[in-house]
Amino acid sequence: MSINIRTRGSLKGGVAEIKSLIRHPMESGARMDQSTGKPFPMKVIQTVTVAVNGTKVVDAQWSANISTNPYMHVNIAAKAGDTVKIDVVDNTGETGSETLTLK
Amino acid sequence: MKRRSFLKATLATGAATVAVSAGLLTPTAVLASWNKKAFEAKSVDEAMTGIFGSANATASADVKLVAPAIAENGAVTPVSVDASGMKGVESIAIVATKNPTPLVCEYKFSGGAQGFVSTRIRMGSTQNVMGVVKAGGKLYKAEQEVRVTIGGCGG
Repeated sequence: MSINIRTRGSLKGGVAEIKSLIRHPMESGARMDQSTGKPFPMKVIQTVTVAVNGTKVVDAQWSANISTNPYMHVNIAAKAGDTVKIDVVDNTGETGSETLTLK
Repeated sequence: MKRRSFLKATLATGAATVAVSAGLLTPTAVLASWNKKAFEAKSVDEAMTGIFGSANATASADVKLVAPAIAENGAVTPVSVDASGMKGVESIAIVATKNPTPLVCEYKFSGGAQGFVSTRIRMGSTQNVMGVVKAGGKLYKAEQEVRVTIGGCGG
């Protein structure tokens, strides 16, 4: 199952505000399961990239310090018709991707 | 177990588990690009050196850090770093100085990306949040204290 990403992009004077909500537990590996006494296994998004028309413009690395169901807002110089693609990968190798066309 | 001691135990064992699970479970393809050393560093200086190669950042008014003065819930603290007024912003990092592993995230910018990031972070206790910006090969920072009434790390 891939990671669910919801993205909205709005153009304001040549700058696109890219806001994303990612559905992900961001389990730090430090939280204890009280019923078993063992920690929940770590599951954290580690890399996030944003590409415009196939060119990578934002390359982010995350730790478990990012909240559950992460929110990310970045600004990118772009114009109407440009394609924005967001890719995420977590530490278990699960991936997610979302593409949108700016208008 | 009392809540206090439970929290302490969770944090202590948690650090060890992070190290183990990261080593055993992480696919190598992901590890290659993820800066493990910096993200698992226990001190702010180590984390900064791991990611920027230096821990010396100058405080600058051009780095605008927006964080709440009081975060009711430390598990979701909205933080944004705005350095769009600076030229040649290469990367932005957010550091929660007293979290078990202080480095929160690092964004590298190229092409048309602006020096701006907004996200939500976890904070274990009342502490300073730092926004570090690398622009033109130099490091700049802004720091602000955030009071946390309910912790968000391993609770």
